[in-house]
Amino acid sequence: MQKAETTEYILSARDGDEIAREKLILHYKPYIINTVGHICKRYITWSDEESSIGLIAFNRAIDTYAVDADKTFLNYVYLLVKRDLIDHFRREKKKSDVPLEVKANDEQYVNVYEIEKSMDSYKQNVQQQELITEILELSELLNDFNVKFEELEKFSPKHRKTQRKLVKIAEDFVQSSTLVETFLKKKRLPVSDFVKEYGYRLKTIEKYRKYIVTLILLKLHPEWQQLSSYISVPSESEGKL
Amino acid sequence: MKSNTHQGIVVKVTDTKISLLCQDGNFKNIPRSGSEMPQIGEHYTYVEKNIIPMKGTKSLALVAVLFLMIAGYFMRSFMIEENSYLFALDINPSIEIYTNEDLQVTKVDFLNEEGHVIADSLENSKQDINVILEEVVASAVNKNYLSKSEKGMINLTVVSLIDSNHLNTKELQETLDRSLKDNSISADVIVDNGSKQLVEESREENLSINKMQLYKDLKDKGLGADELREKSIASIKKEYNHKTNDQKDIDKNEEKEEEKQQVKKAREDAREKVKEKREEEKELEKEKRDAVKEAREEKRELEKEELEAAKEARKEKKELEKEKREEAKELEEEAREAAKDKHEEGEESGEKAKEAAKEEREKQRELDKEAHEDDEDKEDNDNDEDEYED
Repeated sequence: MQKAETTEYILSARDGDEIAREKLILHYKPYIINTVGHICKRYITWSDEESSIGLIAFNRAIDTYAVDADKTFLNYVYLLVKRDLIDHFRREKKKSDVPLEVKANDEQYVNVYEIEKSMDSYKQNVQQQELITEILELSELLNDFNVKFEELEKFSPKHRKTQRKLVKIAEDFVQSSTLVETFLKKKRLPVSDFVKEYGYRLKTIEKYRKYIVTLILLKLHPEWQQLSSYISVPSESEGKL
Repeated sequence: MKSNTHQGIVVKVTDTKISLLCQDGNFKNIPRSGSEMPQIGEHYTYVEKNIIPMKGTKSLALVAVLFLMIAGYFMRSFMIEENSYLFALDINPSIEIYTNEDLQVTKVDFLNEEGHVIADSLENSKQDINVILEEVVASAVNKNYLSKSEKGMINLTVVSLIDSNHLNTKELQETLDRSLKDNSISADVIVDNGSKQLVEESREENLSINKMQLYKDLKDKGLGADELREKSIASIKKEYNHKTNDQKDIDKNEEKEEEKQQVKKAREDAREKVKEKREEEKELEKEKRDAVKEAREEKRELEKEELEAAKEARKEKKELEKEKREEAKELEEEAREAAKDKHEEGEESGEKAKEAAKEEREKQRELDKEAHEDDEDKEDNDNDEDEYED
């Protein structure tokens, strides 16, 4: 989701387009849950109270984000989520019914203090914001192909040589527009057609299928500069193959 | 200790792990500790410890163990294959046949020229020991080492090279007997078990094992190693059998003489024993007599002592009586003197004095009587003692 696209969705959501709002929420869901967890310094699931505070904050960010501002939307979301959570922690502290964390009360002070301190020094650079955007977009796309980040380790090549070969495979795949079309349409890798066309071994493709899918998606989105840089290193030494 | 570092950006954080997109383009899941909660897009460094070296050592150990097992197996099989038993055969040709544990022949060695001829004549030497023995006998007959005219001799010594167990020689004996019969040859067959030590000794003396055995047996009878090397076992045995027969006769005579001497000795011993017994009896009688004499002497001495004691007692009594009489006389004299004095003083006092004198006399008489009675008693006792003396 590009910046312009995001702005478009935000504006239409403000006008009462619930679908656009849903789309935004769905897209940024991984970011929200991760941010909430990051601020709370523990793993948060959707059944936790903090995650709903994060969602409400995100919802308010859609309504209140200044589209023309220098700050990115993600940055704004982070700020709002963090503030709401801190407010929530303070309320909890006053009530002193339920502790902020499972930890002792003493640590609670430290926690809140740390949050305020970090808020003051809070300066996320634009580069990281872009990276987060890229990751969120990749995550959404991978979700369509039924690929999860945590699965990719299994499908990752162990040797540099194999990795170079896989990058080559992805590059070859992207060359064929018909294959790419099928790939995006059916949301799966057209292995048999690809093998027929380029003569790669079916076993290799199957073994690294999900990793190849990721590589193809990265190749199809050259605008993800930072993510692409991670896989560009082996492709440079491609000539050695 | 090696360590593996993973550097990359966080793409997802789950309950137990953090998914990283590493700088080499790979994805890596790393374990997440409770307090860690990195944000998506954050740079993250993870140091993995001690995984690769462990894998290395494990596989290395496995390879080493496998190598040892294989090497051990081959070593064992190699050792079994080579020379489990040694069959040393002497007809006149001397050959040594090595077999494995299953008595399959592995090698045939020859120790002399005749043996060389026999060993060459064997077509297939990788067979069962019994087959080879038959072939050797047949070959020996062919080459005239065993002839029908002369009685031959076959010596076979079996040595186990792997352990000290003895092989059953019965079958070997039967095989040799049978093959001799088939070739209608008469020969003495001697099958025996030998030790490794015997093999070593035979190597040192440069003799065949059977000859070494013979050498050991006949060494005391003047058999030289050089003589043994030149002649065949059969000829030496014949030669020394005669010698041994003569030797046997001599031995028998010696034995008879020894027996006679033993009989003589036994008789002498018996006589000496009888003498000793008699002497002992005499000594016992002497002792008895001496004891009786001593007893009598002791008795006499005792009697003498008693007599002396009695005499002394009499002397003492007599002395006592004398003293008493003297005392009585003195008293009477005193009394008379006293009476004379009283007569002079007055009648009354004279009467008193008479009465006192009378009383004193009466006392004196009583004393005398008592003394007499004592004397009589003593005399009686003395009489008794005299009677005893008689």
